[in-house]
Amino acid sequence: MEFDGDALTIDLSMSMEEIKEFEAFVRPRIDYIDRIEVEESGVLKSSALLALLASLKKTRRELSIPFLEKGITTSAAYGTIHWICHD
Amino acid sequence: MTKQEQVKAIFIEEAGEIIEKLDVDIIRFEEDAGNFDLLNEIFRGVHTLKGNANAFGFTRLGEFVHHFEDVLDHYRSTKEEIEVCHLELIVNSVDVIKEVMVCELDALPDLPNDYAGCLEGIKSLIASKKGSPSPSQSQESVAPFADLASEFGLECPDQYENDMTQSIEMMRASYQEGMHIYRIELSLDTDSYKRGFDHLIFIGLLAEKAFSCESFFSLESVPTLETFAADTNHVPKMGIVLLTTHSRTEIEENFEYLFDHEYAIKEIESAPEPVTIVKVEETALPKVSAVAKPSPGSDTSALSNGAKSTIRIDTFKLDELFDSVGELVIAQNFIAQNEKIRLIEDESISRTIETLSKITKRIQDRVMSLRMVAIRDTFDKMKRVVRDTSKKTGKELHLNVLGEETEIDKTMIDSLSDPLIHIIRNAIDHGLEANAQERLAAGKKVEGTITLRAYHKSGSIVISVSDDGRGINKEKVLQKAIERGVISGDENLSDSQIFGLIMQPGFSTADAISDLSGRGVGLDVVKTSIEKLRGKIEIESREGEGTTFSMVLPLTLAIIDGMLVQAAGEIYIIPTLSVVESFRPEQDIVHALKEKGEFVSLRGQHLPIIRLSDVFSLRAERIEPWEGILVCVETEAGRIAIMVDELVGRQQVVIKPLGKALAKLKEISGGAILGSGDIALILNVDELRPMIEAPHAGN
Repeated sequence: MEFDGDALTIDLSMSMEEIKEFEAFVRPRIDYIDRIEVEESGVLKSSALLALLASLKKTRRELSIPFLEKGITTSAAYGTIHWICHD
Repeated sequence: MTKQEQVKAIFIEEAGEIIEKLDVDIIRFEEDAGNFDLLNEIFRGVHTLKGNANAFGFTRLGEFVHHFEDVLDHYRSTKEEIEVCHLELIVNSVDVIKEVMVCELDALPDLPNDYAGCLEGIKSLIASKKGSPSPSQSQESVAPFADLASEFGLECPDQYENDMTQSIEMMRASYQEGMHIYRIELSLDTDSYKRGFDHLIFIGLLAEKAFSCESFFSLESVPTLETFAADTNHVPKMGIVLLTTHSRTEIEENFEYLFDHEYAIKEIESAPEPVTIVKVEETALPKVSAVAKPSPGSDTSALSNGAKSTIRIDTFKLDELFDSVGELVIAQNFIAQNEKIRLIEDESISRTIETLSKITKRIQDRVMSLRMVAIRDTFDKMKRVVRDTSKKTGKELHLNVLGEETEIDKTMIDSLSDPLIHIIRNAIDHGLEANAQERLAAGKKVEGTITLRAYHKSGSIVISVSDDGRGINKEKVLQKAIERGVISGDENLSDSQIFGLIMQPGFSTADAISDLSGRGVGLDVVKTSIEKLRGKIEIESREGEGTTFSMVLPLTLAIIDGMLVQAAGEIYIIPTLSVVESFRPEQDIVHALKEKGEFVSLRGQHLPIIRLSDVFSLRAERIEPWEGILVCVETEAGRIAIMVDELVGRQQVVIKPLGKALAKLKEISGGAILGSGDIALILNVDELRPMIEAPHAGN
């Protein structure tokens, strides 16, 4: 996880423990973050990350999360995963 | 190869077929941009491609195709007219897909140059379109999925349901015998993470067993941070669509630690219900798809009995079958022609032999037909070549396609594309006039015409490319050939021989070299490629009127139509395609030149006489040419007269490869087993005559 100015970059393959750390980090800072980038070199490990990103977006609609907006990720391990995020 | 690898190979092959079809369909769509049925078909192909790409980790292809699919989906659901600039983007996207597929298969790290730009263009297009949705049209696009949604107890089809249903449809399109399609719903309790169960665990387990796996999360009910907790499951519903060979029990085993209410598995029928389609498209390949494709208006009553089905067969097995049938034909001929059997005066034996002969012939014809495919697909590909070349050269032109139904050996068709592409490009680039002014000055329409035609002629297949351009300037060709030392200038060449010069290596009359043709490397390669197929190229041209390149090919590579001749007691086979005529010469037209050999004068031409007994060092009494028969054949270097003792007949023979020792004899191209059980050698007429200077007149 890297925080550079207004943008936060996280890793896609976060474990549940890391997701919880991320949640704890972002909660008090959500108003100061404009953009969350997801480094897609890894593979999604928990659906909790999707849910957290969706929650962040619902909490602060102007927050930009390109990965969430993309609505899809593919990998050999899981095939294609789609999500629908109603904001 | 493991089963998984086999399946991957099948999917890769299918992806290749889909891309090939896309390439053709997109050009058809460009010509008929209002054809939304065609657009739907393109969309279906793209969706399947996306699934295949993602299932096997071709993520770069998957991403591109995903966005491309969005664009197609927009137009097909809104039926909005596609603007010309966007049509061009769509056509270019197919090119990028083709290139990315190559990158993925070869695991190349670099993507095609156009990838990023094209992807950006697609994203921008869809973004601009999403800004102005039409509610009524959106409603229309959802409607077709209402039935399936209600099947799962949902009152109103939403996007989640729509996506799941589309995914099922696409899995159905990829379905093959022995596979199952499952729709799995996971409704994990809120404490599932704490119990150690994450949706991804199940998806991973299922994906391992699947050829294709698509999952759909609805994040609708995820709360804001106020009530959110990362270790609580806030996704009450998600769905998985799976294409696999595993049984339902094997799939269920993955969920044995979940509560019963947390999962639901439904096996989906491989064909949509109710079935409104029955017509199974007969594929060009000797295979039959297990996928019934819907065809509006087709007769449902044919479903149970009349529907044809297809299976995919390894061509190696087909070749083996063909070989065995060849042996059967030989054995049958041996029985039919065996003197001892013929002497038995028993009607029942005669009848049995006759029946055996008929059945053998029928089997041979049917097996032969398995290898034959219509040339339509190849011609369809050429439409793209014509379009692109027309754009590059800026020449307006019209393409006429005739004889698409003509069938040709599958092995041959694969080797035909490249020569055909080159000839077409050559016809447009050099055959047609340089610009509209030149055509108008010649009294022609501005729009040039290229005609692509396939037809049968004397037991051969002819594929011709004609243009209505300026024709070949014979003087220019001769001058160039003399300059390059291809000919000396003393020869008395026929028109076809002069035109044939342009297919010599390094020969080009093009004043300027373009990136399409005119480099002088090409037509010679085309010629070589066609000759490898045991065919030949004929050129006809009239200055100011146009040129026709005709590729004359045998019906099949496995059987040859041959003229059986006897020389010094041995039987040889001359490919009938090369034979011009045969005759017994008068003594006064036969000449002998010191150190040049024997010649025969035939209608003003002096043909060298080739004695087979000399070529193969056969011990035989030397007779004079007028005591034997001369068979005039067309070769690369012009006509020659092969001297034989007698003509035995004409027959179709199954070609058998020669052993290593005989394969070195360049004068022989193969062997065949005759009905008598004897072996006959097939002559390679081009090698019977060395590249000697053109014949000279006089004694």
